Amino acid sequence: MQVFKLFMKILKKKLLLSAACVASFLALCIITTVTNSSEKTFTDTKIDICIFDEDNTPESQALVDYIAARHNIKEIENDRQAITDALFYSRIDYALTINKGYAQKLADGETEGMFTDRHLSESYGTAYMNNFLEEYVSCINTCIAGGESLASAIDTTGKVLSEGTDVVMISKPQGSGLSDGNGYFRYLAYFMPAVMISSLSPVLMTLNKSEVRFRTNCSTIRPVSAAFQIFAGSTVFVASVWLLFITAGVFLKGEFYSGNDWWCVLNSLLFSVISALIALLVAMLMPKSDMLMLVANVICLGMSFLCGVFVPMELLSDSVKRAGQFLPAYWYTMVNEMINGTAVFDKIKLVSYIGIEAAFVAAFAAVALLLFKLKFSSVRQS
Amino acid sequence: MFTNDYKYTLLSTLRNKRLIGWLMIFPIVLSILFKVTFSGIYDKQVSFDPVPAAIVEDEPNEAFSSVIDSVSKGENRLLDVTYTNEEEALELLDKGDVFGVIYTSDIKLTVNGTGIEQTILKSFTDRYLVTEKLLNETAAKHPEKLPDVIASMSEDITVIEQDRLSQGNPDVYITYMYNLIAMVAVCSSVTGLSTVTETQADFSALGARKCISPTPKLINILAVLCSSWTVTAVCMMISVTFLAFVLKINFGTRLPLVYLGALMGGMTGVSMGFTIGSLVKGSYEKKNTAAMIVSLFFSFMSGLMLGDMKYIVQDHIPWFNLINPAAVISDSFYFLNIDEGYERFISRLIIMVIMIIVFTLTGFIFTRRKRYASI
Repeated sequence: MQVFKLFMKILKKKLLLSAACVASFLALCIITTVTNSSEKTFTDTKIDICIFDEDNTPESQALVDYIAARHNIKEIENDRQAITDALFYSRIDYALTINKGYAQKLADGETEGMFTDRHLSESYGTAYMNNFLEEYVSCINTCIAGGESLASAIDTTGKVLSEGTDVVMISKPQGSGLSDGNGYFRYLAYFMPAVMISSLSPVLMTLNKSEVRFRTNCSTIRPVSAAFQIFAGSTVFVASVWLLFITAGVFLKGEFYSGNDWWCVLNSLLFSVISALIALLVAMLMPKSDMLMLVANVICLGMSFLCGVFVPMELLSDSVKRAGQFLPAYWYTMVNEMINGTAVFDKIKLVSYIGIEAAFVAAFAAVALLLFKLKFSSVRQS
Repeated sequence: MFTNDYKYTLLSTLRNKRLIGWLMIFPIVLSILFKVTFSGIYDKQVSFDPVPAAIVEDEPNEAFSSVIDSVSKGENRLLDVTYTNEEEALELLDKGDVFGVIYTSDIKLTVNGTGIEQTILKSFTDRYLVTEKLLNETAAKHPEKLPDVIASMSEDITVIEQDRLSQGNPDVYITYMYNLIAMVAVCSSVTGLSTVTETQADFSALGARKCISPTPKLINILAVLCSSWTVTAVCMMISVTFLAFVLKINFGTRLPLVYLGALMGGMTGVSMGFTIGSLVKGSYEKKNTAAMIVSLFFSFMSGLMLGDMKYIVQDHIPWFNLINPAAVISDSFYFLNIDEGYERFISRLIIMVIMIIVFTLTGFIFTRRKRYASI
């Protein structure tokens, strides 16, 4: 087992980058998995709003309270740059200023310039809130026209607007915990190849160096045995990383996998093998290891962005999806989407997607064998 | 002495074609992928388009139908409606072609999600029901006020003044491009490593020769550092040019300053590499791994993989965004795009200058006065 021992010795030296990838992945998963939720009944979307009440009257306070009961009020400094940043990074959806004179205008039946909407672009949040504020003011004006006082009109408006339409919610089957759309298995498609390329590729590149290979070839170890030991070392590493992720998943979820989660586990196993094969191909094609991380980033980030890992699949254009179909991460994500309920669950399709991943394994393995054969023969000739 | 050293180091750096190639290929390939992936997403996700809805007229309701017509026509329409029967409406809902099904008989809504589009549909039907209720109540309690109430309801009101905060590009996905340039800059730290490996006797034959030459070590190091800055500057210029002119990424109206930000970012990255190279003991490979880990960590924290990350960091540990070179570089582009003034951009440039000075001085301190008993 000399080659196996050598494999592990080199691997030990390369584990630092791999550990950084694993730590980043787990940090990201803790952030995203914990915030997941699933809906069974319809509830109005709560918009994140910051309100600057420049009127500061009971009437304006009534509006602030009414909005606060329905939406999330965010505290933002009343500073143009702070509001711009919050809107740009979607920390708030709407920045409302209740202008001075709001209560007076309500009493006088004037409407112009009651509020200021500070925005960066016409968004859904802006459209919704503008419509809501018009409805609110219109309702108060109608009540006043019906003979009510301003205070009573505000009260009536609050009550009337609370009674809404009957909404029937057709629920989609939702995943839970780790199999959910924002969860654990989704980001594995980025981190698994990153871990494999950062750790496995340099080890294989070192073992592929001609002088190491020559030395192994002229030793008493048979080439088949050496290849088998390298394969065994790779398998141990891939299995360890996969088991680490799966075990960490159990801790993050707080319970053992059940039901459809097992499809995700199987899917991740297949993807781990694919990632290892990608690392093998990179090791065979890259002449030196100094630029390995840049190559790894091009592969991992590129594949993740094209295959709906960082950006939800539903937002990707058809042409991007078509291009993504040539990459294994696309089928990995498709299986996850089916399990988490983003796509309709169809067992036949699910098995066929897993089959496509298996085909990627076979194809990558065949290319790796071919390259191995070519490289091996070229070394022997030299 | 300096000119000679600078010239030859520059030539030898340029001959490291793989490194230079990757520093150029990396942003070009990834920016193409980003461009392909993100084109149109902002419009789809944030920019308002009329909300598609299916209308099922199970029983005639002229008043409601006329309201639907009024909000589904014209330039600023709220809804994009399709009149159909229940079965087809539910099929459209299932396929995702519409966000909700509105029934005209008893004003009911069927949805299959809880997004903002569904909320807008509900807000529309709510508004109609409120109007109807107020009319009925007035007709029952104060019939004499009915004409006033109808007049008030029919009035077109404008309650909101619009204040657009910036004329810059509001597309949040452009931050991925900023972070990509920032990542190229921090990954340039790999070139900064050569400042250590090419000037220290225990790393290369060239380093050993330089150590015994009469040229002061400070001049040697400065020459290598300047040549690395030059090469990285060229890579950064090419990256920004490719993004701005080939991919037509909208950096706002102050493109020359984007070049300045990129240039300073590249220098910051190289200086960071110099510091890492001088602090991490061991082989070139070890230094290279350390530089890559630090670069990737900074890029991750500035939002290269997850766009929200920088703002999450801003919420919890705001000082980290000021010491993270990738975040500082990416912020400088963001401020140029979104701000009307230059204050915040200049503040980020100053931080970069401070970083360059601190990194370079640290590098100098840890590489000077080395004595070798044996190499």
